[in-house]
Amino acid sequence: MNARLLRRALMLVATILLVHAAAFFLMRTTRGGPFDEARALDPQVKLALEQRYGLDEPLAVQYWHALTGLWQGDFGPSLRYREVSVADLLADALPVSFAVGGGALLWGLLFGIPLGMVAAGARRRLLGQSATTLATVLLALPNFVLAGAAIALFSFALGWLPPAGTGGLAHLFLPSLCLGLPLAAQISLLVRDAASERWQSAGVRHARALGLSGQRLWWAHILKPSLTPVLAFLGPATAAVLTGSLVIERIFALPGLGTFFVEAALNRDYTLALGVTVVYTALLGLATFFADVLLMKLDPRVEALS
Amino acid sequence: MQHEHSPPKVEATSPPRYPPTVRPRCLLALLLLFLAAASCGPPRAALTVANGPDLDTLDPQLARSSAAQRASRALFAGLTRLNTQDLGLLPDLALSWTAEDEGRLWRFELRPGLRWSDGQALTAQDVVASWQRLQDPATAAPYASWVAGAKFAAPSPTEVQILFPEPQPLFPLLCSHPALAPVPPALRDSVLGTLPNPLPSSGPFQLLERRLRDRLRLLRNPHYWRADQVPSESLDLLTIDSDITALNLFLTEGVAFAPKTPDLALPRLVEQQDARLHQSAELGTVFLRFQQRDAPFDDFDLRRALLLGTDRNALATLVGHGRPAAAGFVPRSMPAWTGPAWPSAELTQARAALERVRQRHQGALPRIELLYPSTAGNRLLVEALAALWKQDLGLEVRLMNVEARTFYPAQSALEYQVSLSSWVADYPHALSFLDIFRSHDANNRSGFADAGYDELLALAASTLDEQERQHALQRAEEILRDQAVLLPLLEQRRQELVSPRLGGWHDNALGIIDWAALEWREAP
Repeated sequence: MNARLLRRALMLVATILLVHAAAFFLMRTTRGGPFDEARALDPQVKLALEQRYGLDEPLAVQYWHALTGLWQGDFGPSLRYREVSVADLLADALPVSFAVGGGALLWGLLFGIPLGMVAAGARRRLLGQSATTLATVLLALPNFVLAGAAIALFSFALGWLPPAGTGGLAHLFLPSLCLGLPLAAQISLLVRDAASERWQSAGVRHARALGLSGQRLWWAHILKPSLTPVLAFLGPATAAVLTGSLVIERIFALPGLGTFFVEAALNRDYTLALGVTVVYTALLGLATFFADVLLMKLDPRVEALS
Repeated sequence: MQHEHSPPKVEATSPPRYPPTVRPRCLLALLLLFLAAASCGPPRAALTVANGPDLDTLDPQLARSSAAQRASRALFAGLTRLNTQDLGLLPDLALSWTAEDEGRLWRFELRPGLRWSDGQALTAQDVVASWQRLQDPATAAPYASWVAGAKFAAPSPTEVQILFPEPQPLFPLLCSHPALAPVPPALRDSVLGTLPNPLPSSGPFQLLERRLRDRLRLLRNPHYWRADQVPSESLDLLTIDSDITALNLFLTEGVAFAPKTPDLALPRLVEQQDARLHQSAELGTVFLRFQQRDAPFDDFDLRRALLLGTDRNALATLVGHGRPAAAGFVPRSMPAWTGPAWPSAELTQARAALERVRQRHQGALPRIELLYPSTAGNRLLVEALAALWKQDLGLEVRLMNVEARTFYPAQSALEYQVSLSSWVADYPHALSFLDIFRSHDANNRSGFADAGYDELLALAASTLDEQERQHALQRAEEILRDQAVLLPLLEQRRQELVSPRLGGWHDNALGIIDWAALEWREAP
């Protein structure tokens, strides 16, 4: 087990280094720089800026600086937000993304698992088919449609919740709901399929033949084994929702991490783009790792197979 | 086989009970994390406004975006300021100013008893040191050229002298721009690219907190020279990237002001004559640059054909979204400006000019490519333009969109034929527009070079006679028109959302806000 953990950790480090190098060189081969703007800077001013941020040095030297910075956890100053370091930007954005993403995960699990169980348990009846249809619709709806409808209902028609901004729990309700409902739909479909399969399995038939029913049957013999694919899915999904969503953050004016993914690239904010890429890679690696560990705990066959 | 397809017997005979509520411990942990992260939020400020995308800097000497300059004006006072009603020049930190030596030497008399928000005295030496910092190439200030070659002195704590190598008659006007506002010693002494904490200020507000990409929380500066006139105790400048989000917040009274109205909402607000929509002239023009160093637009007839053959009024009707057709390169809303008339939709002459081009190219018109930065608004504009050219002139145009950071270097390197451009004045004078087409200006980006034009601009920048300056600038714009250097399309409009409960508001063409006068009034 320990050797496996060590191997996974080394693979994660290697992955981060590879992604870091790819992101660095891809960014630099793209045309345009951080100081190319609608109002052209005087060439002397532009040169002074490039010298200040070390952009006048050979690419190999710049990469070496970026690599040593990565080792020290220092991505340097942002080129877009002039007085702010990338570390500070990430430190400010991560809690917001974690709060919204955490809420989304919560909505996803709270809605998704029961919805999937209902869809599985009553799959030949209107209720079960309605649950499946609801999940499909939620999955198909784009984020911005869902967000627009939620704002129209909760902010304008009912006046219960603010349409955007930060300031407390009320401000996080709608964004986390809109991010979480598609997740719930995905989870419910996974649970439905797994639970349906489980319901027809020899083990459940045997348990029922022995007189087992009700909560114990559902909890121990259907739901728990049905969560295996959910856990496998939750690894990358957790990394995705915790690192934010561009659309949701823009619609709800949230200062999260999702906006950085696109903005940093568009603004040629090399340092921020590298920082965000590394954080996302690390989160993805860690989330997948923890999901795997949980899977092994839940289903010993997984460990035996791996 | 039949047996495999039939439903399992157990299912048909005993409908299952629905699963119990799921309460795994991890959900509880997630909930706690979610609540902990969400529980902290600042209390509402006395006045909250949307300020557009996040600021690139809080250093007024480096601020370039309109959002950063709006914030700079709330924090830092200049020696002069603009009246938000008529853009006239008013004293701010300076009581008075005089010119000597034909406008080479300027003397400013500061108000007595000026202080930074931390209580330290704000003296003439602060002004001198700030302008020296602006001038220093290491600062990399975008407006450094405004004090290029100047020498500064502070003969007394309240007198500032600045001596230019050439006359600078518009310098007091430039002093109303945030770039020339004095910056505090803490900022001057800090390492470039860092901000001191706290950041002392000299304007109506002081910085309490900067939440990155969320908001600036400002408090009234008790040491501002007219602090007793500032009605708002606190001010929040919210970072909001999306115009639609700003509209949503405005409609639910989450913000008292939004700097831009979404195009989608504009027709309805106009139709309803909604008083909250403030439409006013903006000192900005949307235009096309012709790259005239190389073929095919080194051909005057081709440039002239497009200038004559473009129906700007039809374009404004089609895709203007409230923006009128441009009457010239310098907007007609520019104070005290009467520019030359530019031709529009003179199709017969345009077709004749095109015919001459065709003859020079063995009977075929050259293939034209129009480069534009990729946004939805730009796409609509260039598609309408291409359709008009095809309909009126029979011209085929290839539209090429690229993202902004690719577009600007291509434009600067003259790697285009025709490109969509826009310009907004830094200060309310035609010089702020015409200056960019000087031969070696970094914003020229067209390959246009004309010694006569440069001389007219030099004269306009240095003469003390305002009439002579206006005449020189009018002549300069005539050169741009007669040589078909560019094609003006639309005049920019300010389309702001202003709550009727916001007191002290005045529309103006530069979008300058007098933060010291704004007040959020109680609902009647």
